[in-house]
Amino acid sequence: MLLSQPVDTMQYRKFEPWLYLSPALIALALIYGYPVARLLVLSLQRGSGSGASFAGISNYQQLFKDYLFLGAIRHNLTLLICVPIMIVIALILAVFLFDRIRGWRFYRSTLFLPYLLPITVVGLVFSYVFQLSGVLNDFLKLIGLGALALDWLGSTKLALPTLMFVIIWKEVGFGIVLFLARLMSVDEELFDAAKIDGANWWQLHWHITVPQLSTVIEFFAVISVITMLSWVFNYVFVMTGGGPGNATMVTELYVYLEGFEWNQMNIASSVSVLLLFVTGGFIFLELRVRERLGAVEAVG
Amino acid sequence: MKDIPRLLAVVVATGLVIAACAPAAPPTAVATQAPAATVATSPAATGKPAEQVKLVIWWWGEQEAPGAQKWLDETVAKYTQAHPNITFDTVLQSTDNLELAFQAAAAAKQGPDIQYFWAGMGFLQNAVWSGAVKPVDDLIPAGERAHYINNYERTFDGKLWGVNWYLSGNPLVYNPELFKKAGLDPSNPPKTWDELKAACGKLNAVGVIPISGGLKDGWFGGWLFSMIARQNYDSEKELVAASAGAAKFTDPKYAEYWSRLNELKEAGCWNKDINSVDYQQGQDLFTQGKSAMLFGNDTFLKGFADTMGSWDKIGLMLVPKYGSGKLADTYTVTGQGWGITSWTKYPQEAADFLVYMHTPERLAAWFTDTGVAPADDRMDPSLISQPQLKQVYKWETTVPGPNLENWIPGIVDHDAMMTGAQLLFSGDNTPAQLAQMTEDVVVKWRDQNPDAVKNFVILAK
Amino acid sequence: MSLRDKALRVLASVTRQGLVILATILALFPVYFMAVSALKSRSEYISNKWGLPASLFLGNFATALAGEKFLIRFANSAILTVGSVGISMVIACLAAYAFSRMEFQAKRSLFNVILSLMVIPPVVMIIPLFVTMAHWGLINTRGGTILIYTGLLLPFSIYLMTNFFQTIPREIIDSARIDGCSNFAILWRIMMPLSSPAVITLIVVNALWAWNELLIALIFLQKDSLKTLMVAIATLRSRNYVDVPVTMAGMLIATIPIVVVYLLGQRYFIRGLTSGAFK
Repeated sequence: MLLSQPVDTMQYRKFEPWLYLSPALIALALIYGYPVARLLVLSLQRGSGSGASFAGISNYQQLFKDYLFLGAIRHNLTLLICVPIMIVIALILAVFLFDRIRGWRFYRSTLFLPYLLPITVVGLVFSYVFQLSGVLNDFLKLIGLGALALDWLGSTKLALPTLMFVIIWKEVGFGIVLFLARLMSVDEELFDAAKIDGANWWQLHWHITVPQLSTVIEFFAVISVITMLSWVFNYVFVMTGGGPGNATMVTELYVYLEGFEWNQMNIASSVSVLLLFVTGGFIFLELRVRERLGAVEAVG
Repeated sequence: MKDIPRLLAVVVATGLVIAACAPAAPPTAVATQAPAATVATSPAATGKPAEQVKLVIWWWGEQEAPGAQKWLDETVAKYTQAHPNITFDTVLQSTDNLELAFQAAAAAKQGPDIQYFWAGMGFLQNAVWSGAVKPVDDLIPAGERAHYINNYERTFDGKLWGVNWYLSGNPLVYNPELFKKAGLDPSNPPKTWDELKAACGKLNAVGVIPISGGLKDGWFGGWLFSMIARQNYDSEKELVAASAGAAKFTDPKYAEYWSRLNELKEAGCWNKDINSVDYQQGQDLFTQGKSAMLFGNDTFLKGFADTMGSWDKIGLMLVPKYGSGKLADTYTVTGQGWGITSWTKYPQEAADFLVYMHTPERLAAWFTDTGVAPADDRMDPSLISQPQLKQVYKWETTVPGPNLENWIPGIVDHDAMMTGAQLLFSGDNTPAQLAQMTEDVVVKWRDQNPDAVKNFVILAK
Repeated sequence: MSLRDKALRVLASVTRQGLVILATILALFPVYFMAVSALKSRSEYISNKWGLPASLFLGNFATALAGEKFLIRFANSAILTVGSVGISMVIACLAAYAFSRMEFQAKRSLFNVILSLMVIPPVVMIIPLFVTMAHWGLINTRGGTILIYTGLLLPFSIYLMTNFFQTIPREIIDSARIDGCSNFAILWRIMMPLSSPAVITLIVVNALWAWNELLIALIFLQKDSLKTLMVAIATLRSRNYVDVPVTMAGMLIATIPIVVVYLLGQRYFIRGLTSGAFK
């Protein structure tokens, strides 16, 4: 998205943008102002309140010596693999639905259902599906694939991939609906023209559909990346609690444990500040890259 | 330009909406209810007219001891009858937010007057060391306090900081019928470690899971540590001192726990899916009659009996011995209880209410309502009719022992004990490695928390 | 068309159908589990986790509903959701208009900062928020919690709306200007109607978040008359034990309103999503 794109020939007084921005700025300041300030301050201290002492960057140094934190970062980065997978699955399913296969309206409703469910329910159900003596393994044994009946949640190597499966399962519905909606508002003529030119299914979708959807894909990608970094707490908390053996520890859980269970608010604040800056940097880069590539939203 | 006024209108309207939706909430402490009592007995013998008092109680416990809500409501009602100038506001907390809510309240110095606390590091860190609760030494006479059970869990630096309410103990529960089926004597459960391992063999031979558990949600690992590792220690202070640096967790006394746990694993004592199920699913295996033993909690016994259909299917034993420390013969029990917040306007009234909870009539009512032992030695034991619960109460009053989980730093509990148990059962680490891991975690904790270490040194005295 | 082509076509079609059916089964399975568990008593559930219930046990719903309090809880959840989603929508559209169509100093940095706020785990906000809210006397008030939700929803909402506003073609706006529209009128009369896909998406996503939100509602709305539906269900959970049938019954109760709203509103949802600016 181009924030530096030359704007329309609008006339407005210099302060007018600020007028439009003010409700947002006020609300954000009220809610984020003190917490963020406190986070920054705490991250540079040892102890809190009256007993606090300035500690410089020692909290950050502690962080990078902590194997638990480093593991959390590693796991969050691993979770990022979900993003391209989700995009591909959502694209394929959206296209199928767009092709108006039989019963597409029904599927459209049901495929979005996971997204509506509270994560606690989803987590609980899948916990039961994936346990060693759970439904999945029973089913695999039934169809003779007993060798594949592994300890999905109890093994340190399999727990994270299993978690990724559940996250994808739930979040992909949003992508499907997004992509489908955008597809349905694309000009029919484009498709018709291509079909007349003799394009087959693959060519059609590769050359027309994907470019048309590029903005939505980009949007979904950014949101998904942020999800993997910052919004997976509920999944982990409900399904694995960070285990087994800390194999599914993620940064949010680390913050929660450090801040509230182990009473180390300074460390927890440092992680949050780090997250803030890292994401800030990521978004900054993303905006810049878009501008450099000169990508313009294809429309109509 | 004509749209500026319009825009201003939108902004102002939004602001007004926000402002209008935020009526000032009355501050929590002072009540505006209940006409002044004419026949009231004043709570404290000071002779001055009784002022309006409101006490806010944030509590937990219905989840663990069903019937607690009923008892609390009754207690409040009776107390209000006798002291009409006092009104109560009791709020049941959810398990996930009990501690978080209190920390928030402590930061804002606003909220409850009386707060429920689990025992352990959470209490010490968030309530005592942070100054969020008051000691009760000046509010409750020593003679009264002496009747409360497990005061040592709430004592720091010579003062008592909390009042225990009820006891939560951890027996090793077994199913006498399944024992009989495997050729074991149901009235003579294993007393030594070797007998336990042998029992596992016999149970496996008849297709019964010897011991069931679940480690996926993590915290069962902490229970295992509390119940099994205790045998080499004479007192919980040894653990506290070790955390503070007086000993290493790789020393044989501390490291033996991991090899012992491993022995149980090697002897085939556990359900194969222990790492992928939650504790409660392990518990379900027991109540379904599929497993013979369970590291359990005595507040659930009544529920077990209901599910299994009869108290005859429930037997209790202490953990079989391998070690000879003083703690090896003790029953793991912890007291859940109350604290008086440091910002309350009515500390004496709060303390008086807590004392009222410990009057004999209330103690008896508690047991009747919940089937759980209150943390007071003045309860009439003849109230208990079930032999198993009698046994529990006997242990709790004659051989109580500390819940070791409460005496190690939270991070050690989580990263070493809970995580370690998971890694042991997944086969990723050997006992020796886990002992080293424990020591590493403790060292890290010391690095990150010099202030807490100082407190631990005081605690270890 | 040759036989081979026909066969390929059929194969492709069957594969497509098959994949979608598989996806649907995967998607629906948890709902099945929820419904089936909610109708079992605890002991029945323990012995038979997956099968259909022997009989329709309705006791769990009674426990989860906790009598007439259910309506109050439901109303509280609804008030919070509608309030916060509505207010944040208005504020976000105004701000997005400025970001997408106007130039001003520090625009990029401000946008960057606002987006980054999305990343802060709500968990770390709880204690400082509690302190500020206590200071303003907003604890245990619906307005206070609506304010919190609104603040938390804003970064994402601003991002989405700005993104969308930017896709509206210049020509449309220019022609409106030529017709003499004021800036605000452009926003209100032109851009908003064209943005119905984004608006609807945003409403759906935000409403889901607000409805399912637990932690903040737990801490800031402790008074019994103010508790939300999610909070009531969460309180059922013990430290060591989850009564699955009762929890599932509670979850069903909490989820059914959303599902019903979605199924009924689907037509409008899709229509809104696809009313293109682009024909």
